[in-house]
Amino acid sequence: MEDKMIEKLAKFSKIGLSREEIADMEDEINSILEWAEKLEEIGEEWSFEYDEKKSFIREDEIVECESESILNNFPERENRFLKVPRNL
Amino acid sequence: MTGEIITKIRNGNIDLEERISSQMKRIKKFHEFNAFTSVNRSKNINGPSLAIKDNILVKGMKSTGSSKILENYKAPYDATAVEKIRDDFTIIGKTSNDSFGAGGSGTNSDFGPVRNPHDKERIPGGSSSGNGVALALDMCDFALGSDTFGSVRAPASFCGVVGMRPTYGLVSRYGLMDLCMSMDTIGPMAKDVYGVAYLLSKIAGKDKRDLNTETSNIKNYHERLEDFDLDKPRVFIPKNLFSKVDDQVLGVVNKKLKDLRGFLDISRKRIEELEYTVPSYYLTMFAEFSSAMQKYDGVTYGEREDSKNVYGMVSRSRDKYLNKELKRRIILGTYITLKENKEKWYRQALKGISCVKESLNKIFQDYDFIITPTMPTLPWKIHDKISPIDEYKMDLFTGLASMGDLPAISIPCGKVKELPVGMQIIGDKFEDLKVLQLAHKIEERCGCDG
Repeated sequence: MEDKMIEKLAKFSKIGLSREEIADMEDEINSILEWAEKLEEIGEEWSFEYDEKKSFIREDEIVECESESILNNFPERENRFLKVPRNL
Repeated sequence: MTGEIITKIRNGNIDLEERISSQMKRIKKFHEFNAFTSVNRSKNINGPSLAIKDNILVKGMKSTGSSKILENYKAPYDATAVEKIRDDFTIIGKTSNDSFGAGGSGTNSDFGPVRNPHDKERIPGGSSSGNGVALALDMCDFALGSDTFGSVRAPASFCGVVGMRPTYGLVSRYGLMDLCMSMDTIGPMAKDVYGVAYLLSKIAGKDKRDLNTETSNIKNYHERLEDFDLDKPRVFIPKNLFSKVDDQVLGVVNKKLKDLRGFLDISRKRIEELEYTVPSYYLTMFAEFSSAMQKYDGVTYGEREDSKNVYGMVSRSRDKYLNKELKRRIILGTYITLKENKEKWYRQALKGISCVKESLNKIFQDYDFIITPTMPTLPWKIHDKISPIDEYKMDLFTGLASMGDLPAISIPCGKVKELPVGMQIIGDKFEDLKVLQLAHKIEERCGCDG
């Protein structure tokens, strides 16, 4: 993987990486991928098993909640609203 | 040991207030080991002391996941496991871990490296690092950790205590910060097998907020430790994986297995497919982790850096508050799930999991347990330069149980100089009681220090 690709992935992942961080990461990422190539030995007889049991979506349910404890975690708020920069 | 303490507390033969105050003093005294991220100053004393890993939510307490991005986050609700035990334990504090559980050493906490209780220049194992240290230095009686690919068992092994990964689905994950949700579990840690069984009894059970949980017919694991009904348990040893173990560790584990020969029916065989365990996990985890981490954006969760627009704010916040290991995992997860890469990397990793699972199923058709060293080496020095791959490879044995959703425990089995060595016992799915019973039997024969 080249630095341009890491830059692109950082953008997709919304992480602002510096030039130095990208250079630092490049070798490590490539050695991890090279190491994981061992998995190419696994033949076509093995299928990807989709485990339905691990993919439930539970019903929404209204529960009692102290809203203040959630509001207090907002980085910035105005009254009961979460405040963010303008998007447009 | 833990059983006696519980009985004494129940009968009023221990002054609980005094005991907890002395453990609090030890937390202060051993501050340099960095075991805790925060201490509970409330005066509520409900039972023996319990430390809780900082990636598990405790209502009203800071739950940082040992990451700067959640440095000021106070949990608005309890994790189910915490809710179940609130009335029986005194929560003494939150313990340090590799950020979001991403690490196996204890050095990847944003609040400083956690130190091994037997040699403070060495790592304690991770990611439930603070728990291992707190138990070993008697700062608490019980600890609640999380184990995705060995995070309870590795620190148990390196710190000389007991830690268990329950069968996936036995304990609710609700209120646990995700690392790799298809394998994450919450697991008990204590100074002996009885303590682990006692805590597991309290936290196990179905939870409608985690639909992967299943009802267990077994209620009180700790009361049934003596009811082991296997005459000579059949034990499988993965011979090819043993060849990757450090000589000193191998010496300790093989000696223990030799001592147990009359009691266990041991077979050593090669199963090459087990070697896909570690790379299959890491690719899968990168994919799941990169998705799970999207919510730490300075809006939904986490600290925020100012910017003129939302993209700049999210990107600058994540850049500033996520550490290098987390960023690398997110980048890799994003890469392998790109449409053009999915087949080569992500799906191949899922095939690897199927392949390892199938091998494990076959083993449990003929054997009752798999026994291995918990970790293939001794804990390394904190300042040793170790590559990410070399660190990932340390999960060689603990990863087996995670791949198969299986229960596994680490118990002390001896020492190399002052450093403890752990032995791992893996059982078949939902045979958590049998795993605890065998561990208890071995502990009885060999003592809590192995």
